Amino acid sequence: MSIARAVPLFCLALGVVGCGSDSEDAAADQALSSENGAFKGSFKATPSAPVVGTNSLEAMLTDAESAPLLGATLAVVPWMPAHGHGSSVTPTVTEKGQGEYSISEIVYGMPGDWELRIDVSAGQLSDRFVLEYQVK
Amino acid sequence: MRAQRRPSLASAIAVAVVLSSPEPAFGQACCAAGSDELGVVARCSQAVVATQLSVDHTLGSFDTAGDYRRLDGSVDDAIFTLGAGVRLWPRSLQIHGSVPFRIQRRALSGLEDDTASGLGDSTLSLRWSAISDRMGPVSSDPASWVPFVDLYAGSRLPTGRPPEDSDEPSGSDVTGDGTWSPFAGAKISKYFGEHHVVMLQGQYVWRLPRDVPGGPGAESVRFDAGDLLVLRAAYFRQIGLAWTFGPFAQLELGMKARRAGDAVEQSEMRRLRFGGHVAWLFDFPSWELWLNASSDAFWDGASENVPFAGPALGLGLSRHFH
Repeated sequence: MSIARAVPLFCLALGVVGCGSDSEDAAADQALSSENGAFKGSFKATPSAPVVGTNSLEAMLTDAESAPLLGATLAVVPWMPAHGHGSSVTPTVTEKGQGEYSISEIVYGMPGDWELRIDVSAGQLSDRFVLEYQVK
Repeated sequence: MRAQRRPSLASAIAVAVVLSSPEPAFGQACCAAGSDELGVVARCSQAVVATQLSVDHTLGSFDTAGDYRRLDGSVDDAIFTLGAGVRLWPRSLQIHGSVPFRIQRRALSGLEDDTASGLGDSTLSLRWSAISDRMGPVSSDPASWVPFVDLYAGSRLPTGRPPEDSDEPSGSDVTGDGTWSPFAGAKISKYFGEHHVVMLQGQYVWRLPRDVPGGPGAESVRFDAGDLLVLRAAYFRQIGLAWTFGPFAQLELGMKARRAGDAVEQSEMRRLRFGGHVAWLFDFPSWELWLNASSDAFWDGASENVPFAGPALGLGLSRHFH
């Protein structure tokens, strides 16, 4: 394994946010804040390197104070920026409790760079996560 | 027995005709046109109707870094295209077009295999044969170096189903780009002696921006897929009166996409393909049958941002009218 790949994986093992950002790690667990900082989330894709076809995602969401986000509404949209299109399938969101959400039926119709846009609404707050994946 | 003798008689007549003409064998090569551009009227014809069945099989894809990966799944397209063209007045002008019908099969991870069909994006074009090649031997005479130069302009028509109108999870029903795409191009064909033709072609495609849905509950957004530049080089070798064959190389460059005016990073595309054809002109000069095969170059760095890359095979038939 090259050093370029070992360092980001080591950072993930330590739970460090935003450590390493090469394209291979975009497919691994991601921990990030929403665009306006209203929420925090950690996301685990299955398969870990998304593939053409059906994928799923486990999300752990908290508010800015790291309290589990309960009863949030999630709208999930796969989007391919270079082609200007998404998927005809709307992913299904299931709340599992304690801030955990399961997102299934994420369909990437072709290989390439995709975004997974997750709009989160909880109470008076709304914000968006954008996850980036290189689908193979 | 008479049907079996007809090809020989036709060939004999063809030989007699070409041997008696001031520019003998070259006439045949310029009568073959179908495998190169479907629906384009050959130089010795007044009109043409052509059909082609092609099959595209995806083996893999190229990512933004140009790395090639095999596709985990199955993507296959069969495309039946009908083309036609007719000369106008003056004869150097022609109008031609093509309409494809696509059958697309997708077998992707976690999804049921599905097959969908529909019209693809059509084309309509006006072409002007601006300069003619004498089609004689090349010599120190500068006039012998003058090639055929064809200029053309037209548009792709959004007769296919765009991605935003897809109903299938796999996208198998997506058959078009969803926008008008005007194009302009030039083709230079030079005959070197009796049996060799070299062609260079360049075409620029303006893919007009369109409004695409932003997602559930979101406003639509103006999306510009980025223009295309297509460059092609080909060589034809003529054998006898009836056969031509030769290889080609094609490079397609896609400009950066824009979303609501903002550039989409790493959205440029580059695609390199190689191929060849063999064509048979029978019942000279009325019918042409051809077979062409092509494939993406599969080494890393050959292409970038190409979701579906693989080989293609086409079989075509055209009827030339004089």
